[in-house]
Amino acid sequence: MSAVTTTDSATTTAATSTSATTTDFTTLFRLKGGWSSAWKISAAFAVLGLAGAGAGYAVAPHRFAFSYLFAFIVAVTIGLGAIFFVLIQHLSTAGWSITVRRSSEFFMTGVFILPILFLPIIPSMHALYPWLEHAGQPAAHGEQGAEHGAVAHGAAEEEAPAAEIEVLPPPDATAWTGNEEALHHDHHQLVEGKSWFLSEGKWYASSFLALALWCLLAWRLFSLSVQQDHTKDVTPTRKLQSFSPGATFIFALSLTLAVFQWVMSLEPSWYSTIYGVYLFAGCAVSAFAIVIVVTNSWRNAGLTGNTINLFHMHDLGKMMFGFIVFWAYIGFSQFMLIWYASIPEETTFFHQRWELSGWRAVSLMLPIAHFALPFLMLLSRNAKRKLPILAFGAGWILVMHVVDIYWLVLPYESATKFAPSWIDFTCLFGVVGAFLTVVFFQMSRYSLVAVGDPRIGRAMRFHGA
Amino acid sequence: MSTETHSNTDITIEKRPALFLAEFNSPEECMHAAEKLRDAGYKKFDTHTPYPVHGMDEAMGMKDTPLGWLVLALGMTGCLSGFAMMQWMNGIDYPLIIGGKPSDAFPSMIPVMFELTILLSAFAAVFGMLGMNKLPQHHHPVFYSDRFGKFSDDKFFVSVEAADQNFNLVKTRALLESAHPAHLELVEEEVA
Repeated sequence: MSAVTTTDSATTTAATSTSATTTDFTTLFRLKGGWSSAWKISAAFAVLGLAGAGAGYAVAPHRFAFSYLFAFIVAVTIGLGAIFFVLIQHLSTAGWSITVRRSSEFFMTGVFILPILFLPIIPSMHALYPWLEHAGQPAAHGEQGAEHGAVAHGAAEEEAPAAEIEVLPPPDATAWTGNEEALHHDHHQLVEGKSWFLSEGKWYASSFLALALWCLLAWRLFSLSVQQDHTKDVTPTRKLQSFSPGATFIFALSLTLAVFQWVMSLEPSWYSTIYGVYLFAGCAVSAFAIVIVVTNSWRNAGLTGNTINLFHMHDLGKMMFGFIVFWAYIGFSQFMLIWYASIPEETTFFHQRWELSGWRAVSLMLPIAHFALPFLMLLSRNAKRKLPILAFGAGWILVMHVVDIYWLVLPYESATKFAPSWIDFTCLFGVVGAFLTVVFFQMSRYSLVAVGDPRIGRAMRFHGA
Repeated sequence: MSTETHSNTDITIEKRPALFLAEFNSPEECMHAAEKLRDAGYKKFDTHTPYPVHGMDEAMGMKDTPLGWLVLALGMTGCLSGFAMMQWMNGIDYPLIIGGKPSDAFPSMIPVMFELTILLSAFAAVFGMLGMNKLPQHHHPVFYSDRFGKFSDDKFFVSVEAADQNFNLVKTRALLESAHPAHLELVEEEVA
């Protein structure tokens, strides 16, 4: 509390003296000194990282495919989390968060570069998605399989239930796994049944549709907000508030669609209906973590004056804490239903992450380090109000979020073991560096606080419990 | 102590001071009075305002509530008793194999542990809050004042209870008057 008050009072004088005169508020809260060249540093990171990723592609294209997808999904979740944060502020017409909202708006603009960062995935498609090989070549699975496939496809829809009964596993589990031919056949049928969704054309179309929608959402949310900095007009606020309900639907559906086809289809015979929500939970928790890390750094650098107070930070901490529990709830829900039902086509996901050498440690680490430790660290009200602890917890959660995405993508790279590669790191630095370059560049161009929002005064006086 | 005789009943009602009630027109004045009482070492006093006044906790010298610790203790009790219950019932007392799982499989206990954690935490929070606020309280002498009803309208009140060790009819009145209340009264209650 005392440290906070000192920072606040030091900058209060600056804020009040300017409000007395007719100083331009839009230039009051800007990046200064080393911060304004942060985008150049991340650009250098991006160039080095992407060069390393290119080298990775030359040396090991298969590894590169998965490493790059992992890095790309990290960037996607950060961008989408930022969009989500801004959307819910407008959706709930939140007044308290106006002083911290701009930090998330900057991270939202990172999605502008996602369509470009997406391009390297295209040449890697065949390494990533097994369903591409399935499409239109049932003959590859032997005569018997082809016959069955032809029957299944030729038969009218009413015969479908009979086919379903046929694929039910026999009660003896060893017989089930032992009968590899039948397993392969059923696996093939499962993937065939999804061919309406998993086709190359559809993959391209919905990938670019999702990316375009996100750019559109980010552009509208960002441009209206910064436009208000100068006009101080209430109209953009109203527009954003009426825009956000529909935008939330678009956001949720496009997120689910994108992660289903980019990540879940890495194993096309497997499915989990909660998968989109699981990734959304990761997006949301990382969004709050980023807002906390960024606004805390701004405060420490004295860039935002007295606009962001301890109550803002405490409430952000509460939200992050809530969403870390949400992530665990969703993650456990997914696990428990699959564990209880024990259906082979569903259990492969966890089986792989448990039995493949080395992955078991990561699987055990996630509930402990992604949930239990931050939960205990941030449970107390006092901990959430001690900003170094809060910022450390947020940083920790961000690192664990990256591990979470790694755990989702990389087990499909190798069927044998957990083996991190330098290509994972170069891809991560390259993609996240490029993402942050856009973010920091925008940060250097606009006010760090949404000074034009008519409710800014109320937000500055925000007093929580 | 004062006495008054009801002429038509001949019953003598003995009264004693219950509290001083100071009425203010603004939250700032009310908070200022609370600060004075806090600095003079008063403990048993309260403020009554139409809406939550930010900073009043500090002005009244209130410490952080220990409620969180109670919630934590009961929450952990719920979590552990959920585990113990499932372990006893499924693992020891009446083991059943369900879905080919070990009878005391840990994942199947988590929902029960979670629910009991939530249940006992919520009980601790709600009933602990009521208990620490001494609620429900069916009556309080502050309601003897005819002016007190305005606390839920546009007036701000400070009440100092006679039970406070610093309470003194002269000194407390002087202290409250130094905060310039719009109205100051001594509320009395009947001696039981």
